[in-house]
Amino acid sequence: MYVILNNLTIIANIDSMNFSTSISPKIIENIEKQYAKSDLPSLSIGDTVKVYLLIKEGNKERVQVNQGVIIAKNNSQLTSTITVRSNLQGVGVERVYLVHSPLIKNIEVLRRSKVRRAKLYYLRGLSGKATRLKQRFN
Amino acid sequence: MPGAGIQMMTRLRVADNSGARVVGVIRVMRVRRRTGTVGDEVVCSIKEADPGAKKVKKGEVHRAVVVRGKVEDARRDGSTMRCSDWAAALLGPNGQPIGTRIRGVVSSNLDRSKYMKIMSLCRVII
Repeated sequence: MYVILNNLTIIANIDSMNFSTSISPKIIENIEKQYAKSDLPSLSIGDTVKVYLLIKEGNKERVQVNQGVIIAKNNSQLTSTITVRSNLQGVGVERVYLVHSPLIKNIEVLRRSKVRRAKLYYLRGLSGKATRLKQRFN
Repeated sequence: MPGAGIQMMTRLRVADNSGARVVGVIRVMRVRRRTGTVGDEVVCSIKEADPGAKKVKKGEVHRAVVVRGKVEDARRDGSTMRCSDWAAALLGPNGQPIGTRIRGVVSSNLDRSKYMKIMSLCRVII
């Protein structure tokens, strides 16, 4: 029995594998590589980013732009996520995006910040000038 | 930050300009469900209202739809949204919004067939 992707690529020959040991993680990695984006910019905590999201409303498609600060990042290959926090109409909104999603057309980094934390959850309790982050130039 | 949802006694901010400011949930209109989330209709009473409000008064019972919430509001592509508060828009007896403007952000997960008017009144739909 073979694991075939797109009817073209034989990824693994399951018959010849020894199932008494654990299945190699390479199989999942090879499958995920087909869907992962290779052109993502490097995203760090504290970056101000613009996320261009494809929205489908009935038949129409349009691109919605969301700008905010990355306050959390979760690295897990294909299901890696970033949490982008912004203040819209006086309401604090956090959106968690799957960065390899085909609905995300582009992620543009506008500004990098110097932060001393891996997660910026402290920003939830602050507003206005207290949420300013020092800019980083490297 | 993630919570269980809203239930009886939960205070919701009012997102429209009907005159009410805060409502208290009496009942979440879901069958066999104790907690409500974004997009649910609730029965609520007005706890705080503007003194000069003409459409609503403190103590009145109305229906409302929850337009944004502090819990994760999932999208079909796997992304989620959460807001800094719970807010609702008051509905009249015919299911149409009482207010003429919506303040703040509205979730795009609202049922468009029922709440098209609310979606068209608000400025930001996420």
